[in-house]
Amino acid sequence: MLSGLMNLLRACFRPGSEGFSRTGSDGGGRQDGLLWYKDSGQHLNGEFSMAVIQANNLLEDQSQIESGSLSSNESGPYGTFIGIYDGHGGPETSRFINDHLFHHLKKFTSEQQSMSVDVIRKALQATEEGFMSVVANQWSMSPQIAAVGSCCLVGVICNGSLYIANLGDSRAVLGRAVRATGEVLAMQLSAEHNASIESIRQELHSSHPDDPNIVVLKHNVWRVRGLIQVSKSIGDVYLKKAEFNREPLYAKFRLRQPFKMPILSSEPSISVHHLQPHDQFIIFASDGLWEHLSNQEAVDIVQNSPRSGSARRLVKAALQEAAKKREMRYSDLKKIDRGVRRHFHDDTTVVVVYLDSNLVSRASTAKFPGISVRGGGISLPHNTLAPCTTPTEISGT
Amino acid sequence: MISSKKIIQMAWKWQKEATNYQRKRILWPKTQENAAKAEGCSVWTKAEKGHFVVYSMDQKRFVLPLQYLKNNIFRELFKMAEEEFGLSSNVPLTLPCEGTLIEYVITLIERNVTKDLEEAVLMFIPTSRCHSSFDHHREPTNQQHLLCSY
Repeated sequence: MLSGLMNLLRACFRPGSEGFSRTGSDGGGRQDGLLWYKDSGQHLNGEFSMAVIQANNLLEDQSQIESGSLSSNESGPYGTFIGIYDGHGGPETSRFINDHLFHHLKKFTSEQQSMSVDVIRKALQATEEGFMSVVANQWSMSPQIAAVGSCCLVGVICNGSLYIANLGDSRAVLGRAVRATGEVLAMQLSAEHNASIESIRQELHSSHPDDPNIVVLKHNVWRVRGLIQVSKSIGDVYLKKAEFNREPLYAKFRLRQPFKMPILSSEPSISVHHLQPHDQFIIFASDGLWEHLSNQEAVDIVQNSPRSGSARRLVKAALQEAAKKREMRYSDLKKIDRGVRRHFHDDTTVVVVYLDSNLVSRASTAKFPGISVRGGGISLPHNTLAPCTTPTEISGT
Repeated sequence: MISSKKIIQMAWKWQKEATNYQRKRILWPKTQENAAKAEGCSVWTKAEKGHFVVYSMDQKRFVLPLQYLKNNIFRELFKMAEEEFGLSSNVPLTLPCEGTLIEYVITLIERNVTKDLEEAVLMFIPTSRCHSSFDHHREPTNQQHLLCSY
């Protein structure tokens, strides 16, 4: 508790050189126009680098890295938690996940006294249910909340294992060194749920046999019911519960025929990987990155550049590619205001987590002060506190 | 084979282009036909400094100054594009109207229209789109198709 307080105080009184901070004990990142970045930080199992570029008027991507105890009490287990939440229709769901998922995870880890697939599944389920209650409460005043949702990619490194849970089309890619050649190869760790993938379309058809329009090709993009590209998400309650698919929700979101079974799923794909000594780093990113860079291109960029700033370098590479596709200069792309900027690229979040094999193996018992960093943006939610404006929080610690 | 209708349309476009050139600004769009000819149908020309590129439904390429992104009429056209086509960074940025409408909007911006006229245009645009010869099949499917469409 005391170390937590000291860290908090340290973060509060850090000189302005760190720039605008929204984060917890480890201090924040820097804001440069629509780019937020934290070039380097230390997590329990090594270093990390983080960057976010905003395109939407309100940043819909949210992200966090939490390292230290993964349970509600200090007895552990210890490890690192990474979350990438790519919202759609608005920022409400991704912000909700950022505020609640990790707390649920810690609660279930305490109950079961260990990390497991079941803990992660339960934490995601509790988050989904929590957001559903928010929708139910706000439905009469702001029905549009029912049409807001978010992809959710979670990584947990604990006791030499890496858990990856995913709903939607964010992606985690591992950089693994090949001993014989020294090359670092990209290995995709997450399953994606986007209707552009044929197996996902087949899955949707077999789970909705009575609905020939479950996936529709609209303007060269496959969409579930012609509305949304992802088949799994948190939120999007209007496609999960028929009672929220009616007036006063905007007509364009309402389906003509009522549905009996949920159109979108909230069941995550979860996998467990045993980390090996030659596993170098993991890149977690929203689809804003992956629509411009291949897995191997991203791994090569991280492998061939210094650790500090690697996430920012990936964001830059993606934006350069986006500028090329838009037939314009990268320097001009950077001048475009948020909002209209979304027509040129998506909100993009990147977290590069390096794996120090020594630290990974002895992590569970290590004494680590703990860090908590959230990816930033310039559009603060109404209820976000400016850094350290709550002395009560300190006295209450 | 090019139909006579198409030839007339193209002639009309060229005539209009000539008139626009006389208006001395760079604003006249470089059509894709030009781009395709100049680039041997394979390489994109990057817009000059301070410019971005959009396409019309009839596949005209417009190279426009970045300030246009702040203009309300263009912002409305972008919103309509989002509703019509969704948001994808991997396909050319296409506005859901004919090239002539974009040309008209450019003329208005050049002439520094008053707020009243701007509002009138904003009200007119959605109606005009509904009556334009909107055709799903002409939507650009890939860059090659776009470049080689003539």
